[in-house]
Amino acid sequence: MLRRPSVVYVALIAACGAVAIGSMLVGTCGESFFAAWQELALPRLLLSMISGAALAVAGAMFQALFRNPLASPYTLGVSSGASLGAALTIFTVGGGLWHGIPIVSVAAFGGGLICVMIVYTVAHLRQGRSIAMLLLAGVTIGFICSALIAMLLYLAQQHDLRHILQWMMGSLETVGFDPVYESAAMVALAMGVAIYLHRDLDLLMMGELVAASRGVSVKGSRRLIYFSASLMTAGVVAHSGPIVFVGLIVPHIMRFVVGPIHRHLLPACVLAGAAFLPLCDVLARNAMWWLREEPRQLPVGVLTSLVGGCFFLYLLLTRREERTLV
Amino acid sequence: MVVEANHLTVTRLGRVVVRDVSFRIEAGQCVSVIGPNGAGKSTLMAALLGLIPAQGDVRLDSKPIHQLSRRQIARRVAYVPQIHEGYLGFRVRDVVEAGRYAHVDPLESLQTDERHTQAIDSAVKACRISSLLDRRVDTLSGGERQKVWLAAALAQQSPTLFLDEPTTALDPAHQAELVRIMQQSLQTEHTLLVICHDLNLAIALGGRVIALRDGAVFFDEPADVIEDTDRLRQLFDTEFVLYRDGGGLLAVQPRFQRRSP
Repeated sequence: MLRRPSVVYVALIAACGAVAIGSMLVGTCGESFFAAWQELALPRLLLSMISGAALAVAGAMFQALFRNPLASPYTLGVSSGASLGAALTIFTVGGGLWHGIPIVSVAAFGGGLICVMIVYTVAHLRQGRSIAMLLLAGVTIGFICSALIAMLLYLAQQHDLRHILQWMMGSLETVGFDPVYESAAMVALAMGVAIYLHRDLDLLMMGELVAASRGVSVKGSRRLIYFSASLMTAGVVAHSGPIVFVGLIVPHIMRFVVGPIHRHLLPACVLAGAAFLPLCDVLARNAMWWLREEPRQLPVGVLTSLVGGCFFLYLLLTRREERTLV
Repeated sequence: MVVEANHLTVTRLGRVVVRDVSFRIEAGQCVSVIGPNGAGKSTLMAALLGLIPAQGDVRLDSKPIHQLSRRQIARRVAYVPQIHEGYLGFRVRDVVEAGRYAHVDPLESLQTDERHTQAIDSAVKACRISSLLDRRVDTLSGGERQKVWLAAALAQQSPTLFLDEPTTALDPAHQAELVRIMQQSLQTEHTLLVICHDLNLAIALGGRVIALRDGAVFFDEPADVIEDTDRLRQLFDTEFVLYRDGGGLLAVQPRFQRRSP
């Protein structure tokens, strides 16, 4: 179902605009967003757009790197590490700024990067099976991080517990523009690297041997891709928590629509992610109000997991060619 | 381009796979590498390209390979490996265009420079795949795919081609087509190093034959050596039968025991 990239971009830009306007009009739990649009609505909308775009691009990069549509920041332990770093910071110092540095973001990036390094080292020690080992090591690190986060939850005070739990379910609730600026800076830097490496991503997806023989410095490119995809994931996780499946589903669908060439795929992922996550946010924050008239907001991560999981299962069952890639 | 290997030794998982191999391939020469399964042919080729760690010295035009970046190596040698890991929805056009990686800046478009479009067009013409350009690679037959990978290597416009068993598992028509493309590239002054599972490919290409056994050079002689069935028997531990016509050696194959009726 390949479409001309320019047609797809126009459609996705229109979708982004429609979702943005819809989000402002619908508001939250019956209250219009225009009342506090500067403090609440606009930062939330922008954060969700940046987060969606970043998760989709990070997912596309990991899928190319591992030549596997199941690879994503979550299956490789990157977001688990980032989550642990962020949770540990919320638990110990409660977040905020430390000498002007956004400490949760830094801890999330540090946690993600440490996990990447552990996963990479474990896989490196077992040469010859590097990709399978990387995925297995990533899943294992994810389990360990989850266990440590569970321990933190057990030890946390009532106030911190609620804060960490809400954050862990993936929430885009935010006040003011500071989180938006922080995420945007981290994501922009990493996105630049992704665009610079678009041909390396294509060739790595064709196989490491092919990539090396065409002139790709496989080790160097792989490290840069790891670093920038981790940075992007951390930029999102620090403020929104682990929002699952966006990084898996969006690049998967976009590859189906515009093809696997990253020159077309990466911009499509940016736009599709920036439309998909705000849409999920509108639905999640109003679901309880529409269904039971309760003024409570469902964390967006719950919705993306539910929708994304079902959709992925549907893809696995119905699309023959994709099944063979797994 | 001159390719030199001096005392090349490769050890993998504690086992010596390539043992003290030395040779020199002159510019424009065609060399076939033959030998039994597990003799170290593919490992030798990977070591020559600097893709795996090796002891000894490899030089491309007198320049040690470890002093060259991957991009610089790719501008000198184009490589078609034996196994391609996956296609994942790429079109033929994408695969051939990716052959230009070593010549293009990261943010440069291929369409803006005639050098790139000409290189791609001539590779597509040489391999006769213009009708396949918009097809997905995973919908092609094995023979068509091999032509696509060869076109990608030709689009690289490197003076040397390394091909690892290019005709294995192909039907006779595609084998003949691949031989035609390789002979044509020799006419355009490519240096060719080809791993030949099929000895008939070495006969068709002519030039020189390097035989490997247990990782070491067993013999390194002009391609006429294939007429010597004693040497082939010593190399492969089996009997061979030759087919000739007025023009010389036509084909060679292992002598099979005929099944009694």
